[in-house]
Amino acid sequence: MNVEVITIDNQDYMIIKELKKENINYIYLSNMNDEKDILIKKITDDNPNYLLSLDSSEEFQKALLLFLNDQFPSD
Amino acid sequence: MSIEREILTHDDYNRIQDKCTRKNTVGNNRKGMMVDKKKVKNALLASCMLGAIASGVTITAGNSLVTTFKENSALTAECLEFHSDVISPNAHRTTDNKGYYYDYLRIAQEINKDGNISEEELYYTYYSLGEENTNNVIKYLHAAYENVEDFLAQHNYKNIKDWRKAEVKKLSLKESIEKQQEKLNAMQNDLQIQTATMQNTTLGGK
Repeated sequence: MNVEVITIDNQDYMIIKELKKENINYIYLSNMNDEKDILIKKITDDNPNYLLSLDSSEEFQKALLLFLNDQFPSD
Repeated sequence: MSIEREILTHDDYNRIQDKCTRKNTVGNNRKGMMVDKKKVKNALLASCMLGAIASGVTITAGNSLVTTFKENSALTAECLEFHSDVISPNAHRTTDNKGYYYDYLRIAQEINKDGNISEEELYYTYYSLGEENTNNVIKYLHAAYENVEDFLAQHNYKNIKDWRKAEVKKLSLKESIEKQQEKLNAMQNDLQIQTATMQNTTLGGK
């Protein structure tokens, strides 16, 4: 199985999941050497070649909720 | 996938949040960081990591934190909806096209549309526009408080975070009441159907 990897701060992060919400693609990453080191980044339709940081703690919660709902859909 | 072990703590959560919102990553420029994906073959690691992230994020210090995420996100969703329904239509470009000005009167009328000032909507306004603009909206509300600071003091909120917490609780309670009401309505409908069926059976039997 091929996994996709992105290098951030000289660390290799594996792409765990990509979830799209409106025009934002949230990328869920996990450090290949440290399972506690997880990251959420985003790519917008306007700038498809750039990996962006999340804007705020609210956006972080929103992205996290998107992941939780995808992994563990509620009733 | 095991979800029994606790992988992330509150500190981990805060650290991850900081890292996700931090802009000074190596290779970052004003636009962001160039996406450079490489493909690596590693099946076992992939499945282990998926389990780790899912269980870690979900179990983080117990279910209460997940609930907190959901409740906080529900409030954020309400704020965003209010922004698109009320704030955006009342935001206008300045003549130099560099910023926006807002129709404070119309926003205030929306917050006070039922004759009662909606404190939730006042919070959504604060979330969208910040303190200075919210103070301008408050001027048109003819409320018992003069500005955001006065509002916080009169409600015994220590700060904005305290206000947000209260709004999260209110929203959660409101949703819980709505769910109970839905259940009650469904039970009443069932009862009506059962009663009608029994009456029909009785009448048919005569």
